[in-house]
Amino acid sequence: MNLEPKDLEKLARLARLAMSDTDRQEVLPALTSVVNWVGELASAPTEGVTPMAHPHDLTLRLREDVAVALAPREELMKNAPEAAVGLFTVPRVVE
Amino acid sequence: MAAISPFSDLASLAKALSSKAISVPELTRFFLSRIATDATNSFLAIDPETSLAKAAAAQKRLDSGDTGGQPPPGKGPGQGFSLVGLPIGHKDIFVTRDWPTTAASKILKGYRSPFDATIVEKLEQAGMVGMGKLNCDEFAMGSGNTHSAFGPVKNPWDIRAIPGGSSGGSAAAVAGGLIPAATGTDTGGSIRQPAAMCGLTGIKPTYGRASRWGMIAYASSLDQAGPIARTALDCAVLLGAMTGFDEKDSTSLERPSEDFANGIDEPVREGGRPGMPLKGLRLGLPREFFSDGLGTEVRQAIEAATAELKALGAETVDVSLPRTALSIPAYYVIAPAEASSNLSRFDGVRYGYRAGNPKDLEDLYCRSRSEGFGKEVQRRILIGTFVLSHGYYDAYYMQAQRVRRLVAQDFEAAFNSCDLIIGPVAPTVAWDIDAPIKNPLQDYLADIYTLGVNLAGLPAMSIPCGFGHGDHAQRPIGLQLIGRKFEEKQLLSVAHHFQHATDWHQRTPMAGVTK
Repeated sequence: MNLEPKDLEKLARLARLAMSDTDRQEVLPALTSVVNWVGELASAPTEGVTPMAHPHDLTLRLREDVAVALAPREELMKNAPEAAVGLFTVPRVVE
Repeated sequence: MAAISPFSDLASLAKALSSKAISVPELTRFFLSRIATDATNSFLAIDPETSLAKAAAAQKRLDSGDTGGQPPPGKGPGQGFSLVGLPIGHKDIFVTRDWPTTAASKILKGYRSPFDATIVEKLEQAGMVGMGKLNCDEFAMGSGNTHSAFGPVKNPWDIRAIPGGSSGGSAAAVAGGLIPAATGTDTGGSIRQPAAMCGLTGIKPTYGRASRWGMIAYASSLDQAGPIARTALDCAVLLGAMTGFDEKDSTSLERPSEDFANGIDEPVREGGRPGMPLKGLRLGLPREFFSDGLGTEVRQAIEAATAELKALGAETVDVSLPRTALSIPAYYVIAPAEASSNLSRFDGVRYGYRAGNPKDLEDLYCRSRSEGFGKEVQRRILIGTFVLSHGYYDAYYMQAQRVRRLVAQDFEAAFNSCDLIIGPVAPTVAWDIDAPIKNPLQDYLADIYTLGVNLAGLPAMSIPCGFGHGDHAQRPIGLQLIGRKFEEKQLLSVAHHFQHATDWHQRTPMAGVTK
């Protein structure tokens, strides 16, 4: 299959990646070749094979629902690129 | 001080500590001064004061007779030794309180984790002295350590060559004698391939043995942690300290760790004896691992190693892993799919890089991510987004998961006629760092012998078994050993017997790479 510029546009939007025109020109052929190559999988006969999501086919274990202290809030907030009054800040989302 | 060299293995360093030939602070300073001369770009963060404080604490433990549960050398039933006071470096994929953690990405530059990864914590509890953080491919995505935001790592054997990847800094630092052991992670070969290309021993355990808590996720159903060191014995002791159930990781198996070193030098099967310790052991040679794509120098080294294993009593059987070629596209659907989900947490809001002057929230997300992630990471996120997107999910992602089961079944079938599978780790020796950038597919295809193991969740290791020829005379080659689930002990024991009979693991780069 041939990926079109509009397909890449859609993928970049879904993945929340901003792409310049140069990026697009570079990425499109690389992505197309990978997508076509992984398309080889379609030729493998897999009728009746159950998909394998986990090496041991186990259901993920849940731990007891008990509160544990991981790190104090102040320490967690130290890594925030921008914070105010102990909260993460983002550009205005409500007019 | 004469008792040790930059290339001493952990077992000899443990002996030097217990006989008081050297103290922990002296040992720590010795390796810190080695790190200061590094010209391979292996380290991303060091903090000598922190390491020396850990060294002082470890010395106190030793003085009080605390050997971390291990008997002193020569006194116990097994071959194990105490890790108290021994230096270790951590791949920058493990989060640490004591050093910044970046995953070799600009998007995490300067990030300080509020907690330690379980692997880091366990090795610290065992008494090891952390020496800093090691360079790798960004978010562990790569096979040559050329995709690091902080520059490529050089191979200490031949500075024109890559060290392998993604745990390239881990392997280069140990090979260059900057540290005697390191942690690594392996999603598609990232412990085994750099260990092979740097002439070291590395093991990836069965999926679920080692906790993934605090290990920055690339592909959650494939990622496993393991050690890179000089010998199988060192790896056995490290792996024992690293593994075991962890409640904090929902994929951790409720299975206790093992003393992998205990009995490592005993015959592997009943009927084995000194001189013929591998008697009765059936080694499977998958014919797909020896087809046209395998380079001549690697083929010759693997054949010589196979002959050596036979001389130790093993027999060989031909086996087949028919889906070997298909394991590559299956991996390059599943791993990017999981990565695109895992890496969605980097949004420029809670931690990490944030783009300047965002015009709105959407712009903040998009630009922070494209300015923060490198090209290969963005490429894999886009591939993952594609295979998970509406209309393609069944044809790509579900089909890859079906092929994954067939790959796992192929291994099971092969293990019906053999106890262990052996073969090459990579088709060639390390390539040149400045080799022209080809299609990304070229790099992906080089992972052909390692990916299936991760898809199936099996334990596998790499041990040194030779060198290339001519221009490649300083480029090491590794032999891969693949075991049934939970049979790490057998892998390590076979590797140990091989190393008892050969000296590939004792070779060191002629000069090492120093400034």
